[in-house]
Amino acid sequence: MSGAPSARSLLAVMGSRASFLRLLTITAAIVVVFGVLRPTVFLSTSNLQFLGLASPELALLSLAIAVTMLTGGIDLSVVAIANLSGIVAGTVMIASGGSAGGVVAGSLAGLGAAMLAGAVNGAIVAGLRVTPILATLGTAQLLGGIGLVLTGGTAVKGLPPLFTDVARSTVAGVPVVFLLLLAVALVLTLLVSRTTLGFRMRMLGANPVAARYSGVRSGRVLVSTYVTSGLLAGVAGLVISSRASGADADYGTSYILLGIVVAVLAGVDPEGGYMTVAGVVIATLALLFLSTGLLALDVSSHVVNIAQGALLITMMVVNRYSGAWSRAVRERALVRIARPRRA
Amino acid sequence: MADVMAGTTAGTASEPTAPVVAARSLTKAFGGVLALDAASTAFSAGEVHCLAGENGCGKSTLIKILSGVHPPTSGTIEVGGSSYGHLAPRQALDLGIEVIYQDFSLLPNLTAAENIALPSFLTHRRRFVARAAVDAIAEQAVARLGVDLDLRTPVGDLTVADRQLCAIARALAHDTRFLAMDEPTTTLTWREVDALFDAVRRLRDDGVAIAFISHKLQEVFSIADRVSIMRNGRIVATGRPEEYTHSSLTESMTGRATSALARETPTWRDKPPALEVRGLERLPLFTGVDLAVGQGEIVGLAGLLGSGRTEIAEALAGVLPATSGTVLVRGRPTRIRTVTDAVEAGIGYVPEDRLTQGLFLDQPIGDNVLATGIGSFARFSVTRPQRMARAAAGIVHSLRIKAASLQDSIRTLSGGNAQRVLIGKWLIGRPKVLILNGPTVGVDVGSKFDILSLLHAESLKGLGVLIISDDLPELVSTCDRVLVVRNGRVVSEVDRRDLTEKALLEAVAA
Repeated sequence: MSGAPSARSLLAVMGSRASFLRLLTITAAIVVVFGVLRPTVFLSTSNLQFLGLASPELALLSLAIAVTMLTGGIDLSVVAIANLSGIVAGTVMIASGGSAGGVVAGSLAGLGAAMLAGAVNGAIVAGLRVTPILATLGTAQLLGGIGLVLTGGTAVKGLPPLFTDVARSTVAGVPVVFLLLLAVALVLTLLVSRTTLGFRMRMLGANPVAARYSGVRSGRVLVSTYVTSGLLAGVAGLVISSRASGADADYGTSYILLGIVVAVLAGVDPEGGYMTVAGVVIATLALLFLSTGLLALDVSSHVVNIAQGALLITMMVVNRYSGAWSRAVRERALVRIARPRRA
Repeated sequence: MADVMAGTTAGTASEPTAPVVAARSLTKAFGGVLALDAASTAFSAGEVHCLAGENGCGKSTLIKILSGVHPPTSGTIEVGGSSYGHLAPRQALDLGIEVIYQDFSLLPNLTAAENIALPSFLTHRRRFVARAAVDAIAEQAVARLGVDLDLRTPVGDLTVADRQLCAIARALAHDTRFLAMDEPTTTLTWREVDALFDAVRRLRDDGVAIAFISHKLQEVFSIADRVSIMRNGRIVATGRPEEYTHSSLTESMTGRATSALARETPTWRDKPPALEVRGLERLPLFTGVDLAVGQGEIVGLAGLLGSGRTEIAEALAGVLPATSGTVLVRGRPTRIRTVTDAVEAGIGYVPEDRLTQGLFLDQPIGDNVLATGIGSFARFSVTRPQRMARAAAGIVHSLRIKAASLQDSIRTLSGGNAQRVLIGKWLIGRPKVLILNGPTVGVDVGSKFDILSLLHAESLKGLGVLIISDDLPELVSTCDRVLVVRNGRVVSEVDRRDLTEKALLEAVAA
């Protein structure tokens, strides 16, 4: 309570719930198991580099969903926003002839479009009071359609090398996009845990009625939340188009469900009131460790789906029951502590 | 069962023969404290046994153990002569143990009849529901209770009092032998309480053992055949209500001597009123409302449910803004269209429903206290954790909120402490006016006294306090004057000199 940085306050930023520790344990177990079974493939530099390259887009999209979950909502339009961001960015870059200025302008245009799409989500959710799941399902469809019109149904190709090289470059062996993810995660952690907006997002998600009685302007908070979500999706869109050397209105639709899986696996409360940025990043890695590990064992990709689903359900079941169990243990311990004092 | 007990006369408190349900040295550690400490007591057929005590004294824990919600840490439960280490909720239900909690646990979408009949369908393991059977069971239960209840109405559309009767009828519908009622009168008006008491007495005369949890002394005296007083998880005294007086009962409950909340009127007449309202209107809820609360003054707002008193308060708080009228805070005109406007003008509002409107139950105590004032603990929107922790710790300390850590969730707190968190949430922002709607509802006697003294102390610093309450003794002991609301208008004012329960009751019911 002194306010001095302690292990406890650090843990509170990382993820205060026991589910976070379990996530760490499971992730470590996956790494150890596959590391022992297939050390040459699983722990190879190329596999780790693949993870470093493949994880940022999923992690960013999951974070975009998780932020809205913190306020008790959800964003199903993140993939559509990401694609739109990539399409706008790519179109501007190609139009400006691939110069450095064009790449920057294109990226900013892509992010701007993503934030605008987020603002639309926020306006529908906060202003028109449409349930987030329906509102964002609608905008997902809408934005996907706009993307198709912009591209004429084909992929945006021929992005400037200056832009596509970003995804290929590494710093000390670590892909630049992974470093970008870490930077974004850091900023988002600060936003969620150290700003008035983050505080109000959490309160709004925990109890919207009490938030209203406490003077929280829920409209503003919700719009800011969906703009943040849109921005995160926009960054994911840039990462995707840089890595794939193109942008497509139909890319990565399976990421929506996977993103929700990652958020829930991380322990983010879909009912609102709790999220952990570090947990989402680690859950993304755990999911990818599991799939590359299984692929290293030469199993079919369908087994990968089964394993991912099983992991999610196991985590949910464990989280559900361990709470009650640890409470019971704590209570029994307290009796032993409380007894002698009264005697 | 009714036949067996037919000879029992009302009010007999002679030593009972075989108790229906008994607690034998029940102990329970819970949420960081020993909630129940070797508590032994017995509930006999045909007897209303009041459990009285402050919040956190273990009343609710005892009931929850008897009904199988919590297993005891040690001790045994006796039901009908058999001894149990613990009960499963279903097992308790099958043994005829029924509890009516404050929220009644009814299903709002189903009709009253369906709610009443449902548990007996469950206990008899019937899988198909026949309309006629449902109605028959419900009608029988309601007739036995001797009340008039519209069985076809969805429970969600019933009044609180009718929901309560519905919950009691539900308990009756499946051979309840032991009925525990957890603070059943908190949300009822006086007339509804009378109807409830009649139903309770009829149940008692029917041979049901009744545990009645209350901290309203008036109720203990009017309904109890036997009273047990609990403090710090122990049963400190048991006896017949005639053996106690108001003050001896209060002293047993709190463990300290009572002193009246007598106060000199400290109103600072030379300063503009903390709150002045002229011609406030929002049709059809209220119109032409004029009122003033001086700095350092505590004003009561009395009226029956539906009189418009809550709506007036919510308009001033910006929850449901008024359509016209003037509001001045310390002489400065303010327009209140949102809660944020009210907060900025210096008006705080402690709402009626603490759990849904006031608190963030799963969030830390510290963050709950800061929920309203977070903006003043940030620079350029970046929060300052040290300052936040200091301010939260300061308010938790000064309001004497019993909590192990600021990081604990509100759920770990008792009703009185939770209410103090809610008041602290406003005090931290130094409001000029604090409006409280039912500030001591569901709060025990000791905490109630503390909360009212706290308001008293704050008012002495210049805070204007407006209290809305059903609790007339509370208004009489706390307020400088009381305004009476009827049909959306302030119709009369009872001044300090004339402020007695009787005068107030007459003014309200007139």
